[in-house]
Amino acid sequence: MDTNLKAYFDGLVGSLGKKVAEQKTARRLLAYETGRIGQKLFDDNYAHAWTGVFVPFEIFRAMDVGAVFIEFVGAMLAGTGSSASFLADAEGFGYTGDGCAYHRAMIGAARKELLGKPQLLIGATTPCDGGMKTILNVARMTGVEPFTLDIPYPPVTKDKVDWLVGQYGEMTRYIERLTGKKYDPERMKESARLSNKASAIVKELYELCKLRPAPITSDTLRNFQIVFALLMGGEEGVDVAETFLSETRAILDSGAVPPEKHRLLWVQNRIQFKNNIVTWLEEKYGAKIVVDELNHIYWDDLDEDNPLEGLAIRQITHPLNGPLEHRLAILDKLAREYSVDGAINPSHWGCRQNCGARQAMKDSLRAEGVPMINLDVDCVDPRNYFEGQILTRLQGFMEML
Amino acid sequence: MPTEKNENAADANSPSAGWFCGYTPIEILDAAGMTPVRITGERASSGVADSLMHTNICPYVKACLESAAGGKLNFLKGAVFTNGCDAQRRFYDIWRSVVPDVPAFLLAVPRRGDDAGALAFAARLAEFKAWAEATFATQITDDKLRESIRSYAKLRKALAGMDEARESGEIDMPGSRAMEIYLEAQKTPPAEALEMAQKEVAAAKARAAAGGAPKGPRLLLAGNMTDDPELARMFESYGATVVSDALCAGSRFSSTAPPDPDIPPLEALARAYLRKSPCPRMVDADDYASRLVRKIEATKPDGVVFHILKFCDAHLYDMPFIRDALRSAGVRTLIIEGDYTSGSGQLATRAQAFLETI
Repeated sequence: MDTNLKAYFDGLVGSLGKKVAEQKTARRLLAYETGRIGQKLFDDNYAHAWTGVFVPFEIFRAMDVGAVFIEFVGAMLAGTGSSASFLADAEGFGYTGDGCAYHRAMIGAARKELLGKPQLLIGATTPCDGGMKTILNVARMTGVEPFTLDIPYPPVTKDKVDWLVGQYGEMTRYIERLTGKKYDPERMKESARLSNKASAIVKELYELCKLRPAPITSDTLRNFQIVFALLMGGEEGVDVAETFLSETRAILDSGAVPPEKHRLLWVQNRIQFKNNIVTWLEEKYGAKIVVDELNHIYWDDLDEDNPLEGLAIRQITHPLNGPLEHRLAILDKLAREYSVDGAINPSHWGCRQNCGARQAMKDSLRAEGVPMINLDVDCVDPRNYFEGQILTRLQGFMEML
Repeated sequence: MPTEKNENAADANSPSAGWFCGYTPIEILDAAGMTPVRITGERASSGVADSLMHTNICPYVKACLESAAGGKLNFLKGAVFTNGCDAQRRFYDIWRSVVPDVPAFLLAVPRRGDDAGALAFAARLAEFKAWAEATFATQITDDKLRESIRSYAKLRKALAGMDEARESGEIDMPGSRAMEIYLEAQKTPPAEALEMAQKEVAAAKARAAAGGAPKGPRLLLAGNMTDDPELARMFESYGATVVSDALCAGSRFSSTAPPDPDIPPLEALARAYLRKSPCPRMVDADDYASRLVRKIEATKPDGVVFHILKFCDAHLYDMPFIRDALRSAGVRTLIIEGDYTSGSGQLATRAQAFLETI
């Protein structure tokens, strides 16, 4: 995959569109709608933005901005087995191999103009230094003016919310100035309404996953919410959420719930390139990932008459923002509510905010009676991945469970 | 050595508060009656920090964590952390379980240095002040704060003057000594530090008057939390002179301009700190490279040694662009990734080879 991605997204949407028309499955629909987001990066009816991972996509939706977050690109390249050449390109350019491979892959992709040229570059200071720096570096490479949201830390106070809402105002003016798109409060209200609707459905879906056995497989909600965020504020998001919910209910109703012996919590992101870990866990140990840390609606509904304030609170209280205590509390809560027996943290190499927290997460979950294993895997770079070693370690972990 | 100094502070029964990041307005600690002590860590690792965090975390943070885990920072009455980077943010998290008896505060420093960022920072500084008052059982009046601001402004002015004199050759002071003076100044009450710096400069001026002068290639030492004078001393041992620096614990410390006396002191501090010579953590990261280039143009070194501690995303993500900026400035550059230990044979070989090229 070393040419422009437009053809890739066109092909993906074309083939998945036919399949969705024949049989609308949840994963298929999610992939189809994600492909359509990718298409927007090349569609002149939309402004084109590359962004940080936890930014308010509802605002972009209300302004006809087709946006993808940079880690999505790294994950997609890994998923299609093509990240290695982009990583090598970035390293040849002088990017440290000790940094996050999601970001390095994005730098390689930008250097090779895989996604064309963005009109907008919108970063944020959370969840990590690397994400913000990558956006700024792509700005240097492309000559595109960047915008950065400086996210205050919890706890929420009025001055923090006001500051962030003020930054959203700056951001919409930045989008207007660079693209000619207009911010319309009525459209924003509609985007908030649809975001709330989708969130409510996803909450219901997650409630079903707490049942024992959970009516999902380990991969049903793989990378779900982090990608789903791209659809928030649109009808597509509601459609995808409803499809996942109805499919899961149907599994429950049919009685064909996938069996499970052990229930697992997956911390942060999945391994993005092809690997056999999840299948091996299911087949050898009957172990099922019933919850991913990032599949969690932690925020209240947005006030449709004042949506920016709700978005600000959502961004400030994101579990990965600020000190660790909030994240630990949520991990513990997920472990309890989903009745998990163990947790797996890939401990993505180069992710300082995760790696620096891993012992604290382990200790916190252990206090809940949930053991956690750190795998030490680079989730995007397959070049140093030795599955045998990982499986050996997981074997010990599973036998201990 | 830094660790000995920490213990000295404890021995002297001087109430001290620890700080780590250059964006910590230490004037608030001083106004609270504490000696602000910039913490430097253990050069040798026992592996404890690796087990508490990860091998791929900033070696400075882990070195400090080693000190903390070894009980060597228990003399502190409090410790102030920032969100300077992900590693420091996590250091705060781990600190609270490793050193539960030393109260910790996490100061969220904005990355945007504009007016709104400064006002947001002033609000966080009000929280920091309240924490300091509660933790150190004192009241920080505006008068006390203004006095501390004036003290540190004098110290910074003296250190900046020392740097200018080094760069111009007006004084005879090797870079290794200047690094020691900077470190001392960041672990000592400001009035004492000022006196010490003034004495050192006077002695260096006398040496220059007696014919002492920088020898060999003139080097500029740049980087992040490079706080080991042995690095400069190694280059000096091979005949070069470090005449200038762009280091977090060096000239970036003295780059904070005097806070505006005509606005509320917390806001004045917020504005001054956000406008100092920046760390690449800031949103306007180009400011970092352009200031470095301007410094090179003003100092005209024969070479730049860019020493970066490993796993520093703020610096390393920018390295291709910093490298290009330095190339454009036409100056020979040696880029070293360090691990917070005091040098190695391989480093010495690279240093010698570099000096042979200039």
